Amino acid sequence: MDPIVLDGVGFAFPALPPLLHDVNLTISEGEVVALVGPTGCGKSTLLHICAGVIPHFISGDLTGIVRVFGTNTAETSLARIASNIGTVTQDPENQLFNLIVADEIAWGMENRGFARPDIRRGLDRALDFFRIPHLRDRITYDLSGGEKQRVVLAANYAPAPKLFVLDDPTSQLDPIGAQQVLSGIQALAESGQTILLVESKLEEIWSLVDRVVLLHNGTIELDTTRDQLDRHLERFTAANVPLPQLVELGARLRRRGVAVPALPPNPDNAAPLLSGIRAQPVESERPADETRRTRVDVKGLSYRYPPPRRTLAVDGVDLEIPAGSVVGVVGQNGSGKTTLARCLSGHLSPSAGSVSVDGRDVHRMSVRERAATVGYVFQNPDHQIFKDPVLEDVVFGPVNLGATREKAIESAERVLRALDLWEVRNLHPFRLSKGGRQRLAIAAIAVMQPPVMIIDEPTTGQDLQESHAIMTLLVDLARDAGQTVIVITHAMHLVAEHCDLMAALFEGRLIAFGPPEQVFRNEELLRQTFVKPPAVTALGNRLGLEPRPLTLEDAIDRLAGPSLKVARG
Amino acid sequence: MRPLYQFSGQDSFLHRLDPRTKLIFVLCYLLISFLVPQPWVLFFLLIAAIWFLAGIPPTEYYPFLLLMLPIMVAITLVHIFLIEGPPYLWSTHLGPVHISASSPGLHVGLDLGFRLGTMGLAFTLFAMTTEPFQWGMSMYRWGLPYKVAFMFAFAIRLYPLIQEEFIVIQRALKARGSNALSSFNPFVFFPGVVTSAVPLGLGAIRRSQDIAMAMELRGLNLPDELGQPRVLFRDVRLRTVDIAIMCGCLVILVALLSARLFTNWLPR
Repeated sequence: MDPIVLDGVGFAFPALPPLLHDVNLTISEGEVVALVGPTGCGKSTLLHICAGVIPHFISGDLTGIVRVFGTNTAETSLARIASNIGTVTQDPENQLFNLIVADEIAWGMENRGFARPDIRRGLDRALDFFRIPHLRDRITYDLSGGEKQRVVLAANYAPAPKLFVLDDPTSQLDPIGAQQVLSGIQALAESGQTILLVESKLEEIWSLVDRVVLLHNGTIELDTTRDQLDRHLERFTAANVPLPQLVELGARLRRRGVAVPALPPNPDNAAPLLSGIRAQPVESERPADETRRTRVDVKGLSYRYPPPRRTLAVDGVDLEIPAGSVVGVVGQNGSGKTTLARCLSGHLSPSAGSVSVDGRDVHRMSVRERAATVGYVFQNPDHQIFKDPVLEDVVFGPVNLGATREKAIESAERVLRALDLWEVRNLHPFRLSKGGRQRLAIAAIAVMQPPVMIIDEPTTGQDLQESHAIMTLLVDLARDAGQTVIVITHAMHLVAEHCDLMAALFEGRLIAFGPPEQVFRNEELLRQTFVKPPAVTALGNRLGLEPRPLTLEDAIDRLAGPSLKVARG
Repeated sequence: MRPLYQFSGQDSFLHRLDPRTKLIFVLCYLLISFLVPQPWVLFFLLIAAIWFLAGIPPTEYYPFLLLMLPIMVAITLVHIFLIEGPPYLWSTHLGPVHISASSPGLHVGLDLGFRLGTMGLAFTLFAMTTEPFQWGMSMYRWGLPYKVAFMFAFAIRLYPLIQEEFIVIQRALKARGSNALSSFNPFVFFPGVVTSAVPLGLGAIRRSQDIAMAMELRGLNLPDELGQPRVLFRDVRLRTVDIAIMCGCLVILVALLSARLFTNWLPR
């Protein structure tokens, strides 16, 4: 019996146009199916339909037939449907209900009425399977993001469900956490489990999926095997869904007449397939501007958390950041990125060292002076919405800094127009999309025109198009207003494409600082902080391309550009 | 530094006691603090007990002590000036009004202040050494419906998350040039609280919906649906030491109460 059969399924939220229509999908036992599509296309909604959440928990107009292990979900209770399914969603915090890891993993089995010896066996099995026996007695809120999500996976695995439904389980994790979770999913796939998975990092799950289903324009546009993906480049491009960089590189090189086989996403495996191609070096497109004056001057900065943590989160960092530059700060969680940023913004007072902006020590400024000098956009835009509607929220900051209301509205209009939010100025901020709320958070700080803006993970949960749109806006701000923009991020492709400089942190120390083209060369050094260059840059490192390509277009130009002499060696 | 309710997660004598035992101990201790003439002894005894029997030094919960200090000082000051002497520590006349600080007022004020402090500390002991789910499940054993007991414990599990969110919101307000939440001026502070309630409240609503869905998917309602009894993996039972401590607390309380009511050993 097939785990999932969707027959002519459609869905609309109350009072909204249909989100899904004519969805037909069958998932066989033991298959691993990746569901991809642009933000807002209905991927999570489709997973909710498969898990029975729709129509039992979320209401709306569901049409067609949904069968899970042969049972029509509309005719069965959610509790019964869910007893066969392990469901993992994006935020582990919302899926941990117990304080101790062992209790969390046992809880699902308690609910299913397992006998106590069976619960003990299930607990041990799940801990071993996800290689987390050392977490057994730990407190759940003390775990890292990756550990929490592995506990959630283990808690869903313990009652031995027949199907796993995973909704972008690594989207809120740092690279090391994502790697831990992906290795858990890999183990599930290898053990023959049936998995339906939404995952924005197709590159990372490439090796474990059997089929890729593209959801676009409310229905399934493509259902193909992994190895056939590069034949459908146009469809993925039209849907704004990135293929793994090297898979797309291979497809686009072939279209430019370069005879290369289908490339795997891993640069180590792809490099030998391209070793016969020689590219002429080209001039760097982004020469470093040595003449810009220093805007942010960090000297010997250290920060140690007070007891009981006592962690030395930032350790003797020296940095000189020029005016008008866009700087990416990278490193795994716990490497000190956010603590450094909070010291730079004055939210934390350093244990040693100093931070000055245009020669003034930020830690000697009042709250208002700091807000006017170093703007800080926090990761979650929902934590920064204080007023209704959008226009009032943007005006809030300048008025606090002493601007007249007329002047504040004038500035707000300029920023809202630049960020494409002027038309929605009278809406409640929570009616905007996640990307819209993220732009609003940036607008609310940009309107105060601080010389320095720090943005913590501005692209979390955004699709590729929105991520690039936000980064482009930040770069434009830096260029037009001469602002220095510091971006904390895990998205290396955005650092490569949009940042002039990057700073890599490891255990609170600055291990690399310079243009991305230079920093990404030293993969060995970056590996200790779990930073991987974009696949095309890593490929450039292996092929010795000069300068290193930072974007897909750079790589195509190096290998097949009309100005290049491509020779077969 | 620990938030007001946060289980410390250690393994100690106090951590291993049943929550019901600790609850009885805390209640008896509070009553005893009103029976003995030197409540400050009980206050410091409790700090020592938390340190040596639970392994938690005062540096771990000093924000709580700091929070209690102004209340204890205020109570003492009120009594110093309200209770008449003699003897007087200080006195003056403001026209017809006689203002004085009396020695008996100081004693009564200190006694009450330390009693209040002892009550707060007893709660801290319970909070830091009692895993909320163990507490919830022991309440379930005493007859509270499972979902009520579980949700009660879960609310405490959520507390650190909400506290973290509040700190971020406070910083986000500062980033917008508002220092309202750090202000001592109530006309600035309370509007700041209202402003920060928007993101905090909406975030909590969104989170609670996601959590309710996730709980449903993990089978919270399955036992009711199938009509089968709920199994508890970690059984919560009273051990001999728990019963002994409960009995000991009650015996001491009754003894002190009797001494207070029927003898002159304890001043009334």
